[in-house]
Amino acid sequence: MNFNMMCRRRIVCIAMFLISMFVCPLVSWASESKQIEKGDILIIYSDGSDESTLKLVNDMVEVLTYQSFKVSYGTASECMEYMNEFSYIICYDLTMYPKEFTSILKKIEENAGHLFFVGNQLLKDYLDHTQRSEAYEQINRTTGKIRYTFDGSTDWTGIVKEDYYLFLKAISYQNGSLSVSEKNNYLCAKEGPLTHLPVTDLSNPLVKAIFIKEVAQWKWPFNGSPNIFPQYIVIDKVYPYEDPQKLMEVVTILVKGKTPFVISVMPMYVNGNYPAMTRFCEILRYAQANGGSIIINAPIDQMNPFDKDVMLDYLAQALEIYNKQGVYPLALEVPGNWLFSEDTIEVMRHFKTIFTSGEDGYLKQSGRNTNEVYKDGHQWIGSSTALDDFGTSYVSAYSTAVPISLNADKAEIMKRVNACRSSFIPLKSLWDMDHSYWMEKDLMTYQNQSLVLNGKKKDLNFIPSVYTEKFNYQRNVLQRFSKDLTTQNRMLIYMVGITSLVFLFFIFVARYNNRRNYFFGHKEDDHIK
Amino acid sequence: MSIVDVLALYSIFAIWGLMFINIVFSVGGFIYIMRMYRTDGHKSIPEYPMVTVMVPAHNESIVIQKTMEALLKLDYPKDKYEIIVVNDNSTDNSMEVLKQIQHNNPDFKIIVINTDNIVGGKGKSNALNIALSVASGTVIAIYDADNTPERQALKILVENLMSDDKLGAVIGKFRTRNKYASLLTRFVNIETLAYQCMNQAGRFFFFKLCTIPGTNYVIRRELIDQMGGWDVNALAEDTEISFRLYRMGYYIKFIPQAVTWEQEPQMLKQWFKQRTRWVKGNLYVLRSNFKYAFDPKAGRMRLDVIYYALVYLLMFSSLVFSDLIFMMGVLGFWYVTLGGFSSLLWEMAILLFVLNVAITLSVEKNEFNFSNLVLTFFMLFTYAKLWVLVVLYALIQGVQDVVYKKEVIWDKTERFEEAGVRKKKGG
Repeated sequence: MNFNMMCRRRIVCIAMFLISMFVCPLVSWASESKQIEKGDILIIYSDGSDESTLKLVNDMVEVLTYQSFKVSYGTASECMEYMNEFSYIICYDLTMYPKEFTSILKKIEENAGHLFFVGNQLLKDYLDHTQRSEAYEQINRTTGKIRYTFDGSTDWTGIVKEDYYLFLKAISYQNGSLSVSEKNNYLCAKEGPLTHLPVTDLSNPLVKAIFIKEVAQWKWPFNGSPNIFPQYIVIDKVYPYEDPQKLMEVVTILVKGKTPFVISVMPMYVNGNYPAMTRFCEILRYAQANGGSIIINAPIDQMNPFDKDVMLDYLAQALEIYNKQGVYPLALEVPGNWLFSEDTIEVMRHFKTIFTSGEDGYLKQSGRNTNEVYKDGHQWIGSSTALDDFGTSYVSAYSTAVPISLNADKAEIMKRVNACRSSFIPLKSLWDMDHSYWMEKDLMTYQNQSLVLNGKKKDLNFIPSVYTEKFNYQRNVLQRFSKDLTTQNRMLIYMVGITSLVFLFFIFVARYNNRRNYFFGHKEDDHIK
Repeated sequence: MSIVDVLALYSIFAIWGLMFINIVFSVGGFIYIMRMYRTDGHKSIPEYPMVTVMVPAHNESIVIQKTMEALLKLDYPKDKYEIIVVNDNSTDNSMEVLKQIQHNNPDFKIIVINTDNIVGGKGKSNALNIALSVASGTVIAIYDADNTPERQALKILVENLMSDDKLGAVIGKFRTRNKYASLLTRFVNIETLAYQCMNQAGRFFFFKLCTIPGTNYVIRRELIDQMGGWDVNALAEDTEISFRLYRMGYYIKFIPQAVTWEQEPQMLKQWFKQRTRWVKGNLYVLRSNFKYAFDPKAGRMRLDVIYYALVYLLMFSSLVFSDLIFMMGVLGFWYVTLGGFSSLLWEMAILLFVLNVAITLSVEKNEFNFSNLVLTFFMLFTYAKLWVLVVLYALIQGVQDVVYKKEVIWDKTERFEEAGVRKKKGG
């Protein structure tokens, strides 16, 4: 190797190092800036939005996911460069956005894109920008009264607040009414490619339900109304140690009334053969054989950070325990925010049918801006948006679950069941759909009315349990000791307390004597003088 | 219930059980010591017997001068005691130092026996047997070569021995002379007070049981003769001779006023070596006397055998298990799932440990202070943990000795030159 060659190599190395120094930050910057994936709908919200706005955007994404839409979302600045890739754009309460934003909207409108304005500010700015100031009416009042019907017979009313209200003058479609200053206007209207919902407070269940229905209508490509999805009565979060008699009573009422229902059971990990569990599963088997179906709740997550492997292990254990008792959960129930974390999405991937509960679990939100979970093609049954005390679903844009708590008294349960029965949204049984799940060692499929677990077809007919007269709980001596530790602890605390007091008394006496005998005892130290 | 739970449960019961035994001993010890402190420890006897003070010494030139000075100053009739120093196969200048002391104190009866590696060098028991062969006293007093007994110590011990025919031996208290030398000696000082003095006093108070500590004790000559001298195979000749005295029907009394001050190991290595020897010696005694634990004829000695068995089997194993559970728990491998199991158990144990030691410190002058209380707390997590290692090492060595049929060797504790003795704390 000659000297020139060595020099050349060194120069190349230095050049590569310098290039990498410049390029790496650019790469990391690029990875930090959000990529907006192409999808069915783009939701755009204000730059610098706070947590509460993000929560509402997540709620929108959630309900659109249940409707099987691929949704992307981001702030106005993040979305600008990707807007022309979308045909359907929801502009949610946009007040802060870049200057060029309205120009881009104009191009989209010209290209027959569909724009849904939730709120008033952006619509006003946009119409002004496109020299259509005469096309709207502005009312500078903050309070309005909304009126809306979901089933054509019952009117729902509510009070809303906005900074001001804007209404399009010429409209081709309108639904509901919004009274401001005693003047009736539309609640949702459409004119050409522009759709407008003047109210933005999606934390209000009525506004949220209206939004869900209107978005479904906006996205419906045909004439008339979109499909009506069913609702499911769910006896929610039932623990094996709950009153079996009460569960049996509710099940009997539903079975006798030929009402399809779902029992969402909480997972158990040990002692699956205990008599209490056997009795509980006997009721579940009875329900299973008579139109009821079983789903399993996700284990309560207290992990920080979330460990999907541990979660799957627990789920596998719980499913095994139920399966051994002849109970076959068809789906998984998860907290709503499981849709937004990669790890929980990974767990949900093991189940075809997913129920979501209205509660959010303890989970750190991921910084994604698309509903990744959409890709997994789950059958979603979302929590209903409760407008009345019975929790009845008035939203038919996607399948909803109406929860019933076993803790409620029997009369209230009956009222809820009757409200569901008389609702315009039909009730459906889980047995009319296909389901599946897979764990490390288990595969369950339910297809064509046939449930197969690990290759074996399972009999779903009710077989009563056989109980042993004297169940051996295998509580040996050590277990009894461990059971009594709490009592022992209390006793120990008393003993330690008494001993400590005695010791302190001794110390006091000794110190007193030492001080008193000081002049007699000093000879002891003679040796060190 | 997992195996970890079983081990945790075992440790909890063992540690708390032994803790309460120690608490009971502390209560008894406290009462006994307070009662004793109402007197000066002396008893009147018609005549003082002839006493032979025996000092086994192997390479002790650093400390022997001081020891001899203290022995020569003892408040005991000059013509009624003799000092026999067995200069046991020393390779230092002990012989010259001792010769000089003999020369400087012609009025005292000082016998120096210089042994070579054929007769001597076989450990403390052998040296004591050599001294016994030339001793003329009817009472034998033993002092280690690093001891400086207080002036009244011998007199108190002898007076108490002669005042009760059922007493085979009387032991005194030993204190740490170099307690300020290092952190280790401060720990040793606290340990000595708590577990040598208070525990001995408690056992004597309840059961008339004491274990001879190896120094600062007097014993009847006739009993030693009957026993055939000291057991040369025993590394803990003191414990061994205590058990033999019990079996002969005598008891051993603890007198807290008879005090000697001794030099303790300043370095961890020397301390470890010394404690390993003690543990091996005690295990030897336990092994050879365990048969008496279930023998009703053995009398109260059975209690001491059981006590030793509890300390070395139950305490050791439970500490090993609890430390193991703690470490594996911290590493995330093991979990205790016992219902009601809480860290409060450990916290209460720590509280009792500190209070238990605090009682001992409170009865001593200049020992009950903040720094000693803080040291006691830290002792639990540092010094006390070393005990487990010592026992473990001694067990391994013991097994090796049996397997390879090794001869028992007296591993002498190394002495240190003391820079200067502090007159008072902070002085």
